[in-house]
Amino acid sequence: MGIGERLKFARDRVALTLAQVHDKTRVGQSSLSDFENSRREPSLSQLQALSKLYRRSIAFFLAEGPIPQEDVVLWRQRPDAGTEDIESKFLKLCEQYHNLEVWTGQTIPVCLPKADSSMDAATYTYANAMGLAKGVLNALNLGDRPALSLPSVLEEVCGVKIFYMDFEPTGTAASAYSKTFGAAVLLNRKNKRWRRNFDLAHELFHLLTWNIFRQNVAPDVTSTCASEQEEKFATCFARNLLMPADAIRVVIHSKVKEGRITYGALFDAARQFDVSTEALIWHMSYVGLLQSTEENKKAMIDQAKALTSRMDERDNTLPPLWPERYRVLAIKAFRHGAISTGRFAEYLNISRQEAMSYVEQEFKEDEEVSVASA
Amino acid sequence: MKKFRLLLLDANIVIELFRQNIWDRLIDSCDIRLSRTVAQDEAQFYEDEQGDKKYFDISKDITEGRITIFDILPSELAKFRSRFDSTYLERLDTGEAESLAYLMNSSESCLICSADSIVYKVLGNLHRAEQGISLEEILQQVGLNRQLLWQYTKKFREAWTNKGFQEELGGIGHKD
Repeated sequence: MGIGERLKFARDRVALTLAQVHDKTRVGQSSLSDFENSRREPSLSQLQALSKLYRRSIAFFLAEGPIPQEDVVLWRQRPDAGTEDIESKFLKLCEQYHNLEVWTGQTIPVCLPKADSSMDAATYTYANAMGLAKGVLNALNLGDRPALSLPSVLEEVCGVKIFYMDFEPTGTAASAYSKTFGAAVLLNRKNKRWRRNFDLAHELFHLLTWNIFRQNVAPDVTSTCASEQEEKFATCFARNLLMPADAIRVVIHSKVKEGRITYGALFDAARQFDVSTEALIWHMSYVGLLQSTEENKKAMIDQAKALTSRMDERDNTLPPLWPERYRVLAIKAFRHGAISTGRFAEYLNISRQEAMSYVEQEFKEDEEVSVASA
Repeated sequence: MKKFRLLLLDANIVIELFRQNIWDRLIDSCDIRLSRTVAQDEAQFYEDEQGDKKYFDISKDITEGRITIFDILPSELAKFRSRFDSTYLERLDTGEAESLAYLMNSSESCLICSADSIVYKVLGNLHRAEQGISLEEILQQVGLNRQLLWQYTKKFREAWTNKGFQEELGGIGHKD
């Protein structure tokens, strides 16, 4: 497949018309049509403008042979607007992260605990999801308060790439499992940290069961949503992963007086596990710590939410735009002469001059110190 | 008589020349060529000490023929790319890749001036060390000596060119 066909393919993927591309790049519509139909070649500067808009590398357009199967983005619920744009940005960031790993020789192979591959989507059960959560807790040594370490363990140990972006509705998140860059999760930056924790655990379920639930995705599908049932399994997994039954019992029992617990105590327990009070109430109900009708449970949740909005003193700093490791790898790649200033600036979304400040001194990071032998 | 003929500059150098307010004097002394990507997209402004963007415009220099702009086609870049580890294209600025491809394809002997270690690594890798020149060396020869940061110095160029040469000996980068 030549440059022309690849340009057409990339434009279709971001769902832009020739007129829209012209508006954003100032490349004439007839020229665009000529390029896509291989009647003439764009100049490199024109190709650069198009590759930026389509969020593809120039190398993608120069490659020969058929286009490899594109990565699938799995959404809980597709965003209200601009899905193609969000997806292409997310995949581009994942690709950049992977590039940095390769160029610095610091690739972390994806090493997630494996779900039982003999299972299939039709026979999957809640017991399977709960068993998987227990297995992951043990395999990753997440301890009694898993939410506190889950993001860093997934990123630093398991090789999962985690990015945060702004999109609507806030209740959704996405994941992707690529042959190129491995496993990745996209979370909503606007959500509170405990909500993001839950979303991360939820998306982890999809990554772990990718081979079970995504076996029959058609080759031309690049964006999809999980079934309602799969989403319920993912939520069950997330609850059990973030609130291990034994640990939650110990905490709740310590707060119960004469068979009753205050909303303040529930809030405090949720804070310890870094989950929402709503998630805690649901989980208490599932593990038999709450005997209440569905209607009462909903009333409790409403009351807890109202209370939380008034008394929530938990730290809720926004996540950084880039994972810390991504940033560190970018700086390392730049200082070691593996990438150019412009590329470094582009990867960290900083100005060229700010990028230049990273080489204005000679750093001593390669200097060695002695350590005690094991 | 101009001091340098066919001098290719990358965006960082153009920006530094404007920041130092010596662009006009340099283009009077040298035959400068810029890739279209450097001229149109990459070299737009510098930031002053307060961090404010100071935009500059080289379009008049282009229309009046004081500097020359060149374009290359993707197929020419593909030839350059085919000589390297395929990731090199993603690692370089597009303007740098354009300038290096131009240098490789040109029948005339060009010089390239950059503040990017990877550009000098590529030259070292291709055994074309003699076609690299630092901003420090240029300014010395045209009588515009001044204190420059590390990445504009001859030492920087030599260190990274040598690194590229060593990598090529170790089988990294260059395919031929």
